[in-house]
Amino acid sequence: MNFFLVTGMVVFLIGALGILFRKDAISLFMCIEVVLNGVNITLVSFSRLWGNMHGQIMVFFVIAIAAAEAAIGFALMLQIFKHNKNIQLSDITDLRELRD
Amino acid sequence: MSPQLFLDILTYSAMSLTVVLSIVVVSARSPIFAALCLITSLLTAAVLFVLLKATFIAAAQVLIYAGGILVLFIYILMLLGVESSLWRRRQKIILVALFLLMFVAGLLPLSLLFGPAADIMSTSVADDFGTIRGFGSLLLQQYAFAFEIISVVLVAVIVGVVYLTRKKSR
Repeated sequence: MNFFLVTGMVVFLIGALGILFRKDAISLFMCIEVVLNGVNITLVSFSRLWGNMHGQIMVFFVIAIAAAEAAIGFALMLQIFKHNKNIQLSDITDLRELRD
Repeated sequence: MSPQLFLDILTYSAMSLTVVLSIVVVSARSPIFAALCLITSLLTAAVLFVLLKATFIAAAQVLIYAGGILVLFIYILMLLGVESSLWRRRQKIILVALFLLMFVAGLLPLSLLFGPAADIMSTSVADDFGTIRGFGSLLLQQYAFAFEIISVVLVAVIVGVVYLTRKKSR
């Protein structure tokens, strides 16, 4: 059994369960980062296993997309915080009123 | 201590630290503590990348992920001031049960596919595997189009963020 792949999978599972159970948006984002970290470990492991670097290229793109996602997410979160005075996910019910 | 034993100890401690710190990120009460644990977890994952000979990716992980994205997380946490959330007992039990279920469901196919014979560390690779030289030539030749698309996406993100957070001038 290869422990690198197991590590990647376990980290992915932990993050996925965190996404299911966390209540506020910032913790949710941190869980998403944990999930992406698990995916990155798996991709780099397979890249090493097959001896080519395509998996590492994909990890590079994952990092770039994660940065973009975090920036957009935090901009949205700031607007929601201005409107709702908190960022609990259960309080976000209306997107239409957000720009007022 | 032989080098192989040292490498084994490093590998297993980095793996277990990554897993344990990820658990802390998901279950910590204080969000700022969770963010700090996430930084440490990303650093131990970078150690794993170095052990897998992906040195450029490890450097990018430390510089961009731990140094850039997570600093943004902590900045937002301090700006918004999120209060800590508590876990209920029932939630914890469901969480552990779900984890075990998914672990078994994911581990069985994985072990059938790769078995004990597939050892990642022992396969031989080319000289420029994982270095900036090999990475850059692959990125700018075979993946040049995807690279350009990513730059367009990032510009779109910058424009979007500026639009979302600007002050109303009227």
